[in-house]
Amino acid sequence: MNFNQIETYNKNGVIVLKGLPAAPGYAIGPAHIYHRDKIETFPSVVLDPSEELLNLESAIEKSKKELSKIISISREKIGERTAGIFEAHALILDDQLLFGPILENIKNNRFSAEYSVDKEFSKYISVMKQSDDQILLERAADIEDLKSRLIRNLRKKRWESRLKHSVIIVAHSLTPADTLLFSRNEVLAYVSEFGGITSHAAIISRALNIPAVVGLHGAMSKISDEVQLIIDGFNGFVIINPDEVLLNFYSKKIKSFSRNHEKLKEIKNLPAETFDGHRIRLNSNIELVDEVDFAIANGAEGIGLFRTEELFFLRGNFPTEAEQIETYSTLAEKMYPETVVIRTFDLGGDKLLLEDYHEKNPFLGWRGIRMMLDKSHIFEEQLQAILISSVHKNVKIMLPMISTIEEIRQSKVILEKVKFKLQSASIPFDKNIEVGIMAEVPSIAFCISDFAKEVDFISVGTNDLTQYILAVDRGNEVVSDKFQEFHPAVLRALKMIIDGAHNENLKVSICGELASNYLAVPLLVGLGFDELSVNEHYLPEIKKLIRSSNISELKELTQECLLYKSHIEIIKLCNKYLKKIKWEYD
Amino acid sequence: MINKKVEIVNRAGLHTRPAATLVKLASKFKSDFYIYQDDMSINGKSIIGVMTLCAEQGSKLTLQFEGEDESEAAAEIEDYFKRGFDEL
Repeated sequence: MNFNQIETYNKNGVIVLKGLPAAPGYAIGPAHIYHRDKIETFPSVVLDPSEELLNLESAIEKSKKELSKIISISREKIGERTAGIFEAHALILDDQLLFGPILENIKNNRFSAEYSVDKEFSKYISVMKQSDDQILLERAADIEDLKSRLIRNLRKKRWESRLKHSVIIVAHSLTPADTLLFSRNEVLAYVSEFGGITSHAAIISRALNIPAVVGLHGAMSKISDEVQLIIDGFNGFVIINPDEVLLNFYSKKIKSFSRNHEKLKEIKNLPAETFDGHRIRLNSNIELVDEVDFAIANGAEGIGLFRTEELFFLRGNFPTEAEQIETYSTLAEKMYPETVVIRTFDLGGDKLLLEDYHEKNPFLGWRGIRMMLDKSHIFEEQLQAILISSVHKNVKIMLPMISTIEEIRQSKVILEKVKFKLQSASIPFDKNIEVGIMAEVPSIAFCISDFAKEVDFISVGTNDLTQYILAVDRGNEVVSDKFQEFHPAVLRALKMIIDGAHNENLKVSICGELASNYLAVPLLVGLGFDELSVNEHYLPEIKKLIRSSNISELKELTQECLLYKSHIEIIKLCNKYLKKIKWEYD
Repeated sequence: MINKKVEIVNRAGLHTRPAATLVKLASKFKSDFYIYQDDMSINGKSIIGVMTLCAEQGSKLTLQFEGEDESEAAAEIEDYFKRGFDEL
């Protein structure tokens, strides 16, 4: 059985629902239906406004006390930064601009406090709900929660958040406070009918490491209290009444997940930082969306390279725009709030050819961006799909095989055209989406300061760069010993690219195979790469290697290697370094 | 009265956390503080106002300060915008 089969699983009594994967992880357990009181108020007139004002004052005080308790739990469980969300809520309770009209309404119009609070808060909620920005739209839920809290306290109702045993919470919607407070009990997972992956509740579930599936419309009518559920927070599945087959499948997943998790736990949440405090960002390269789960489980901070050609190889033809939108959006949602770099189709060379067209020198021929600019309708369709998937603002575009400035400019003209089209159709996307290039052709190294001025980031592809610098076809066995990744020219070209990009304040990442080579990692960090993007299997080991090093030593090592004339000397010194820090590798 | 033109430079925009810090910062000063965006203006000391401003990355805003400590307020708040709300 695999995940695709689960979606179409059809057995008696088993119901499979698909929602948005808001926090990764798996859980099996009984459902607990959580009904939050529905708040309804009526424009009722009171006899004594002064009593109503006192009532409001004590409800505000009570709500502030609740929030300060939430803030302290939040600080303890998920840190200062996330606690800031609740501090902002507490600040709203002091907002004169908000409470001025509420007090007026009670004093002058003799409306009840409940009604006055509801009316004034709802005004702001509806303004926020009109935003076409997904993230701000979800913030309306926070204000809604604060309104309910105040009205509950005006009604002097108690605050319930204790549970009896380990359950999966199923709710219409979850507020950030609910999410945090339930976690004091043994909550196995969260399921909600509404909410998106950018909601504060989703952010908090991820921070708490509690799996969550949201946006599951109609779930409450299909799930009853105590019924058994399986939650797959990686893929967004909620399985009601699972049979033996599904239970076995997921029990195994949970076991292997927690086994791996245990192994990686000590290092997973630690940064890739040297002894002396130099921080590197560790991303993962992936080809299939399914790989993203393993990348997250292995501690990837983001996706540094998503190779879209795989979509092409799977079908033997270009994927439709709808298929692309689904793939890119799923990827962006799974990684949120971390970023995903999507590389546009890189075809030609050693990869599948678009047409029955044979070139004498395919590696020097019609490939990567060159092909896409000629097939601009395919390029436009892909850019449009990437833009549509960028609503959460965590997607970046990367152009492969760039060798001239014009290729960047032409690509940007096409991108602007697609942006205009989407804007005219009122389709939301990230207007400030970042555009970067792959540095894999030597011309970029020589003119790096010109190229850097045109883009938002640079990522180095070492396989092609090495091949073009040394004029060695790495697939040609006769000359394969000439393909030297540690050649002094490669090292010096990398230094030129990094220094030039840093001069323009750009971040430089490496997504080539060299970044997954333990022997090369000390050099790459010493050279000044800001990010390494590697195959997910290498993540923990490479992190361990970085954490066993000192940046000052790595810089020295690199300086020395930059003076060498042969790759043999460079490899020798790198080996010596690994031995010195007692690092073993195959 | 002091007017300052600023741009939102951090990626996530003027979201919940920086909005809260901005309001706390503004409340330290006696001067009035207003934020203008396009045809809309809000009181910069009101968190609910700042939140409904929905200012995203790239938004250009005008900050207006008026009162006895307007120059100190302007300097400190402009700096907070320039630092990208400490999220750069």
